[in-house]
Amino acid sequence: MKSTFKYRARRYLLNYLGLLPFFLLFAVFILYPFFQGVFMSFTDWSVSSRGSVNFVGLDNYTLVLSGKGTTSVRFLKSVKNLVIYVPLTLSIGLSLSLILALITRQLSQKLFNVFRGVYFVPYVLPLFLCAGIWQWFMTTGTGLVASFLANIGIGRGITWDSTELYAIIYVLMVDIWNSAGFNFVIISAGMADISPDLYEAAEIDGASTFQKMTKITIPLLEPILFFVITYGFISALQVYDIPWIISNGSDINSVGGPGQVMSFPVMEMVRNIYLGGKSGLGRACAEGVTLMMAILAVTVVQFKARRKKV
Amino acid sequence: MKTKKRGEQCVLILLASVWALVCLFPLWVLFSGTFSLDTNNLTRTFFPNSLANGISKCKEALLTVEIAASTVHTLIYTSITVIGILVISSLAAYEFTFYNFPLKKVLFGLLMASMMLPQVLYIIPLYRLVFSMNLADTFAGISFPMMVSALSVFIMMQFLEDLPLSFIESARIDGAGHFQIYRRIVLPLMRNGILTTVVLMFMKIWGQYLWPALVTGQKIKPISVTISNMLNPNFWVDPRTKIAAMLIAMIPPMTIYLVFQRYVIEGITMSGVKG
Repeated sequence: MKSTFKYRARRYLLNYLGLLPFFLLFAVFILYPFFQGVFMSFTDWSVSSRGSVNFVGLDNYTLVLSGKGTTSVRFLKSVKNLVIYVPLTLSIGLSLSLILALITRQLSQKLFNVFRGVYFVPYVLPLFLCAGIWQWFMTTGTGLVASFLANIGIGRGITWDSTELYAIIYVLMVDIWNSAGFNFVIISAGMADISPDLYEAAEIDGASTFQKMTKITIPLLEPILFFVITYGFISALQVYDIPWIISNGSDINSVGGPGQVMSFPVMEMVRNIYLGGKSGLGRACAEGVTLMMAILAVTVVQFKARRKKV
Repeated sequence: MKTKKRGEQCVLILLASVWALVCLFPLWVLFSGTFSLDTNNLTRTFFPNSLANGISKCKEALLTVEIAASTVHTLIYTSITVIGILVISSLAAYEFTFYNFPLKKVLFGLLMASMMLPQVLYIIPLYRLVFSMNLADTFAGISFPMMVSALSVFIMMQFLEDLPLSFIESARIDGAGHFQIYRRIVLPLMRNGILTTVVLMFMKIWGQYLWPALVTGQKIKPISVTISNMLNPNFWVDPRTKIAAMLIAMIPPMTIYLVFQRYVIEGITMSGVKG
């Protein structure tokens, strides 16, 4: 009895030893900074404070959310942009991927593979390159896509990166171009898992192609669509690389373009890091916590809504 | 009936091709823009017409814009990170797949939660932490925090689940130790899982921007930072050189994708469908 206990304890120890590298790095580089970030959002932490920080209560939060002062005005504007951007990128992006999947799944496996290979190409490009390429395309006067759009009457005479709403559409275009392939691969793989018997049965009952899509394919895709939507929300709320690089101006205050037409919360956070100043980092942490609460809320609501439906 | 079906197929192929064109057209324009004469208007350059000018632009991009140095630096920290991920994640996947131990559920829950944790919050203290450890602007400083990849553990577990437990049992009876089994039996058998993880993680780390930009300074030049600096209106760079720089920066991830396409697609599918 005693020896089996000893044997087991030894084996458990080995198990923990195997897990140690992962959880050690996780604790040091993610968990610890995470809790520190939450804590620091209540302090006057700044780049210049060495070791000692003062507790300031909710000051950072009121400063960020009050609507008074540059930091707050900028942050609230970025949140407003985010509220427009997230639903649009999810609905347009996912519809596009879903439609592409529905179309290509009707083709032969060989053709499907070819299209899948091509659709995934933009996702292979890092976001900084997508931003760079599209910045070139969308420059007024010298950009290929901007000129084309101007010719058909869209956005004639405007600069896309500094005009209200157009700036968000600009980010949307780059983002959807980049991520449609990713969602397409996942959605179309989910479609392959649906049993062909179901379609055959429906065909015998005289269902049209459209009916088969809406009554079989989409309901059975629910778990996958749920994953894609949840994941899409989390990453869309943290949109950063594309608008940051596109609106990259002459100095740190030009982040997000004139009037912050292309500003998003993570960008404002990073701006506060680079800006320095009193409680700069504390403020950035407060913005981070605010955004994290939003992410958490959205995720919880999604899981709740799903449980109710199923 | 048959002809109707064929007509339908043609329409579908046409529709599918529209998006395929949207995907590939920008890359083609990038290519023809680089390899064309300076006198060509870039807005209307759809075909390459000068190999020599393209080569000189690429040279300029590599040396003056420092794309060459950046590529080497990025390759170094990406490789360190990916190797780290492999060791750390395969060990964790081995323990989680084949063994039961106290707190297993809690630890696994923690692992899953780390996938959902938004980067935005911990990145500021992380940056200060790495800075205070004197690791800012070093390869180790960039790499270590990126080595925590729950997704990799998850993907490797999917591959390990197909292995029969009897392999482990018989090795144990033969007297193999805990980590001997991992090294001699499990690692060689999960070759596909490792390849998938390497390919996915390489592409992901190569494209990172926010973290490398925060933690580097004078010494290390991540490719993402070099490219975004080049795009800054404060620095004037010849437009064709800019395009050439982007074209070159695209080569590493593109090559990986073209060579290992099957693994890339499989890995992405796995993370979505089964997750």
